[in-house]
Amino acid sequence: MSKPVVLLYGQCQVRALVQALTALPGFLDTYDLAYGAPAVGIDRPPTRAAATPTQEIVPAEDSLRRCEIFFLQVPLAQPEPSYTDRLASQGARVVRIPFLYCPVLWPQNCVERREFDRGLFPAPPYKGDRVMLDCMAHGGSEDDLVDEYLTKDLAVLFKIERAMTFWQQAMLEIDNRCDVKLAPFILRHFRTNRLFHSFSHCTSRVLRYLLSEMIRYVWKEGVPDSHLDFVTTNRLNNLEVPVHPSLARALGLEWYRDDMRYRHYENGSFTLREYMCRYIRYDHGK
Amino acid sequence: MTEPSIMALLPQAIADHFALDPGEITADTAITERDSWNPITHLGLLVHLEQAFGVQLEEEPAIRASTVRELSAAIEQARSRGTS
Repeated sequence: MSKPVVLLYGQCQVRALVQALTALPGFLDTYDLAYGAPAVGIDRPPTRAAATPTQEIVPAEDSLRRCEIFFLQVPLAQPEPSYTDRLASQGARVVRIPFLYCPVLWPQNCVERREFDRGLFPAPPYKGDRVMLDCMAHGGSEDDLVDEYLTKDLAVLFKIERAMTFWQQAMLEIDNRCDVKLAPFILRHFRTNRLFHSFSHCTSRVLRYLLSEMIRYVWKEGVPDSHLDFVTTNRLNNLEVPVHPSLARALGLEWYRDDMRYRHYENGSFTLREYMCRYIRYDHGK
Repeated sequence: MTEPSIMALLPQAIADHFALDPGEITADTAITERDSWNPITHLGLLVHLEQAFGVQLEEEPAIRASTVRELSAAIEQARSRGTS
């Protein structure tokens, strides 16, 4: 007999949740898993398909028909997928989970249009950094540019305290539209634990909490810590974007260390200075 | 000196933030449809507008604002509260 389907909709964070549920002992004995994704970033409007050419992933009709639980990552700007109402009307339980993002650790993030090897990377290999791009505009050696970059006070430049207030409000707004809430957890641990690797990739600590809350919400039961640790470790850490020290100081990040290393895909892990020198060269490795 | 109309200044302030032509921006422009919009640039825009207009926006409507008209209303509301 065919099993009921648990369907998850969203992007990278949700893909990581699918992988985690796949690895969760016993889960696939009871359920089949299916996955759906929008054509463009869940944080971007549909008109931007050309700028972010990802493929829409529509679950197979058979998966939709057998869907019993639908975890739907709530987007900020896009409509919900067209099959949401259908799933609800056929009796599937629709559970909304938050889209997670962290603008305050990387307020200098920007879209960048430097050329790169699309054979190596389907998307830009670095998150754009407009403070460094401004430094690069007047030229200089890599070391001099990084020195200049490090003298900048991004907390002042981007009025980070005020940005933090807006971010808190934005998370609460998203939480209000969701069944599973994350804002209180994020705000409680933001200063004491590293919760994000980049603007839209959370660390395993957050993923672990989100997964445990999803399971608790739907099945009213907990999962052993060891299982949660096993299935959520090393899921979204292929790119770790350095945090500028001025922001770490201003935000009082207790987990931050000056000698932290940041992973750049399969190219290795680098100190902030090494990482920014590679960014200046746009070195994305072979 | 009377305060200039918000809609007289807002297109330029938004254009500065998103590197757009201010002539492209009207009250009905959906900022969330612009190429350079994302949650980071949205929060950055709010901070930028607070500086440009010398106000402190109320967070909830500012976060929800998706059109220039809604941003204008949020600034107007902040002005009328006298928050700066």
